[in-house]
Amino acid sequence: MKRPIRCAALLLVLLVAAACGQKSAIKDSTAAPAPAEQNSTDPGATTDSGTAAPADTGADAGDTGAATGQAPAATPSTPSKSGTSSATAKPTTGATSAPARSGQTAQGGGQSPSQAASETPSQQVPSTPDPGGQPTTPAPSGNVDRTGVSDKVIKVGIHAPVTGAAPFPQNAFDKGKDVYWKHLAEKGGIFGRNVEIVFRDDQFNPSHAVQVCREMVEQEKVFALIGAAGSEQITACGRYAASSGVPYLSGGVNEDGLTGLSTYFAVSQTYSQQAPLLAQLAKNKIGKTKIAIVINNTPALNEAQKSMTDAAEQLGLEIVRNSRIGKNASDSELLSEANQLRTSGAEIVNILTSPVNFIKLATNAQAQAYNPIYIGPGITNGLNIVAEAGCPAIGAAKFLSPFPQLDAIDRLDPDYKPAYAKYAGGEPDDIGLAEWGINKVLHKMLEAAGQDLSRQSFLAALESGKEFNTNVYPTVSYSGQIRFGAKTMHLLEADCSARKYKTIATFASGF
Amino acid sequence: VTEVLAHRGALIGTAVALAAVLGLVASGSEQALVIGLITGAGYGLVALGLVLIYKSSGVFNFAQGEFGTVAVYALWAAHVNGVPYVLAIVLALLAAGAMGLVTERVIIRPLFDAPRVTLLVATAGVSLLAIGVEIWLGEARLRFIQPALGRFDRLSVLGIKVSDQRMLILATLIVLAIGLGLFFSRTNLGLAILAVSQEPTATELMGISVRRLSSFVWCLAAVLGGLGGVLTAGVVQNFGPSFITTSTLIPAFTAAVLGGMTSLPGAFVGGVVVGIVQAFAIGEPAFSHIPGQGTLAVFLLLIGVLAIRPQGLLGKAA
Repeated sequence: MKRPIRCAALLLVLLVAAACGQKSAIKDSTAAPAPAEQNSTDPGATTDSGTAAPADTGADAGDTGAATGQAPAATPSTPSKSGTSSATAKPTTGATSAPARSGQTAQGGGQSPSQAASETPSQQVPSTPDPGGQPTTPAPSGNVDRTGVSDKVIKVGIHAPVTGAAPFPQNAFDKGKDVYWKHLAEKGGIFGRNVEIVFRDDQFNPSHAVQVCREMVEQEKVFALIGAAGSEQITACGRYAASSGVPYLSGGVNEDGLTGLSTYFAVSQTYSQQAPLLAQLAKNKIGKTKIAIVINNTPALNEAQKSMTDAAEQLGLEIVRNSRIGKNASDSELLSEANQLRTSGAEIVNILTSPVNFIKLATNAQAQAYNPIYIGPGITNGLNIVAEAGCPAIGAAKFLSPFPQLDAIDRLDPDYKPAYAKYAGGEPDDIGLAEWGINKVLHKMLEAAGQDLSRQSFLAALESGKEFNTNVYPTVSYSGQIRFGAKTMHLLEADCSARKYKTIATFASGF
Repeated sequence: VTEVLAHRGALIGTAVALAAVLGLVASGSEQALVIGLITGAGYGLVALGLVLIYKSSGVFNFAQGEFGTVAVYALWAAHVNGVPYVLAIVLALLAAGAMGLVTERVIIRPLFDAPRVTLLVATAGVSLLAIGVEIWLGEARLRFIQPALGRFDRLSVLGIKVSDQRMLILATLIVLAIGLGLFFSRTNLGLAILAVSQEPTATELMGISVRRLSSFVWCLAAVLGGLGGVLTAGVVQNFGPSFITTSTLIPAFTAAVLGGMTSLPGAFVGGVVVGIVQAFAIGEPAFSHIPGQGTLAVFLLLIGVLAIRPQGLLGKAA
């Protein structure tokens, strides 16, 4: 009997070692010098919005198809001016010569002038080394890199978890990934080209994410990479992309590990930028003051925890519990956490975990007859798949999101549902909407880069300060120093009677 | 004295349990006892199936978790299509039993004479295949599933509310551990299964069909795994591909090894011990800065027990 026991014990050791191996990429990502202080969007610069003030948020702009407060859609002729000249005259020097500022807000950003007036200064951070320890050097000046670009096609790689602790349904992801580009092709594409999407499952594992990103860059020869979700995976791939000179876009996640990367751009607010909104949501919109903060125990989220703590304290909220739970928390851990939340008396739980952890925590809390209001930053916990699996335990959970839910999209972008029905078939879903939105952002950026597209012209266009307005994702603008260029988010609320999220505020910059 | 020495494992286990209980109460961590007991019961339920297979054939069955997951999928599919919950559970257990039979017939039986390590790897392959099929057919999305018993607040122990579903798991585990223990010690079929595991050739010569018994054991273990799956899924109310394998299999293996691998009551004890150690490590503020402290504590416990008492708390030395 002893021999098989030893074999099994060895197998268990290997399994644990494999799990621990996932941490290596996390360590890499946090090896970068962290900003001394994280500044987020200045709460004082925000105004009430959401359903109460639709004029500010664009929620009532459905009649015209363009939300109030949003910049007009970019026209193709505008970006073409800067294309070629930018590519040769201004290669990707911005971030490396002048490192990005954490938490600094962009100009405009789809806000009313009063909202956009405040630009919060924050400390500069040194440029960060890549995961292999190399400095994040841009392509040499004058060297134009057109990898992934042909006369007809621009290849773009997307990574997302379709397995692991935060899974996206792959069929939904596959169905939606080309809808925007097929819709655009009918309108002539981008200077005659269209985008071809290459997709890889990152398994919610940063090591695997780097592997698939490298594969997309080196074998598939993609022009740019997009990270759909997962802070550690985005951080790991973002750092790899920077070390390879590949443009990288993602929804806003952590800033640590991404600040200062020469090719990284967040298309929505980071967790730190969302922290003041969440504190305002708790105090001003929900009207509760006892708050608990629960965050996945990964180093990449240390800064998010600090930002959420600071924002809550600044608004005078009483933080009754501030805890971290394992990325793959056990039933025992989640039950224990739920019980401690209950005994803490928290009325609101500000949660930043994977959907699996969130749902299991909510279920365990419900089993303890404890039903707080859950709030949290985007992206994944506001997806309908979470409401489908998590209701009724998640109650009327409210999450910020870079994209609205399906109930609001007709007002903001009436093209989505018809295009989905035409090119994907079936009922449109919010995962397709997320893809539609980020692809639309990419479209605007590619247009801005001009006809003579290269990685250098693309990065130069992004760093130019131009606003990219899609009316789906928040308007963003960047510079060589600002890579977290969004100022607004949508607010979603779970409707457990329908097992879906609904949109309760669009393009909100404060509550 | 001989009698006492024969039950040395049980005595050690009891002493360890008492010491743990006293320690937890003294340190003000008594809630970890309750949390450990009710979460450990889930581990123990899966561990029962592992022990059953090991006891009868000497195989570490890495597919045990997937017997449970497949049963959960079957329960969900039946229930969302209008089948009453109780009948859906029966169908789920039948599905798990069928998977166990197919695994035995297609994978285990052709490898019957192969080294046990080969069978271990083969069961891991079955598990990976099942996970792949689950993702292929059902996507990697979480799905909601109702508990068999929906009331949460009937019982409160030391400040922890114990839902009816968790009580059901605990009761099921106790009944099964005792019932299977009696089955193996008091019935001809149980004794025949034990005989097959110890001396298959002699058992065959006695007119007992080794292969038929193997099918029976795998089917029974799969049904146990299925029962663990459907009851556990009712607690967390959602599931996805590899649900039991990722959430329960490793703690269940630990529980089985702690309990002695051949002891069915040991699976129960092991599950509870794993649950309590995990809950204590998680709830103790002194360990809060250690990521994965619960898993680490269980792992250290496993190493400690294997070093001091390789046959486990209630197992018998080979």
